[in-house]
Amino acid sequence: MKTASMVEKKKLEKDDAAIKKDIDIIDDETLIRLANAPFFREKRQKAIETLERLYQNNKSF
Amino acid sequence: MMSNKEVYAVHSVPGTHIFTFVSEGFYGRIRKMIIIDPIRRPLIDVPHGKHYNLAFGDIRIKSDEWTIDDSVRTNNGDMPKVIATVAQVAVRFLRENKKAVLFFQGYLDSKSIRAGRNQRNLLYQRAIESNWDCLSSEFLIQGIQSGKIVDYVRGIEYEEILIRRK
Repeated sequence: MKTASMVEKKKLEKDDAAIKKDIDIIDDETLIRLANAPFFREKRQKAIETLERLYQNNKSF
Repeated sequence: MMSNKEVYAVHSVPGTHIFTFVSEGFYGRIRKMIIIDPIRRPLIDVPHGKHYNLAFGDIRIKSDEWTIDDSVRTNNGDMPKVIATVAQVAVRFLRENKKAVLFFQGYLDSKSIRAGRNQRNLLYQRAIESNWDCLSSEFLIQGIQSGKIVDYVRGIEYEEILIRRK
């Protein structure tokens, strides 16, 4: 026979599963937020520096 | 173009150049993200186009929150399919943005540094070269070598790559 605490634990596990993030589901707002994360900002900055250096050295391009 | 290659289904965020797909391989399912960002800087303003940087990375769920995974390069055993997917996104972008100049550079992780090669760039180059006839007829492809922009020649390794429509 299930005790009250077991029932409660099961319910919590079920609730937890319901709110857990899923690899298959990601909303557009989250993607936009991640696009502005430092990781991508650094990549963008590195690209800017590389391109500026390139175009200074390749003015005839 | 690139239609002979197996690619992942890609979701794009409307009104942006943000894309995502799920890689499936040795380590399970890994969500990837591609961003094509405009670069507006006076020094690189050129008459024939607007520059964009293509950046690429893994995202994962940590403490039930989506976050960038910049810890390691993921080798999920499906890199050709991943690169073909990125290439397909790039080609579509260039077709839709006729004045765009797309810039991309692989990044040097510890494995690449040990090998003395930019592994991801090599994979991008492999994707370009295996579709060379189609791509080179539609796009001007250039490589960066010792700080110089040169016309792309198959079989040569480049530090970075620039692509735009002819």
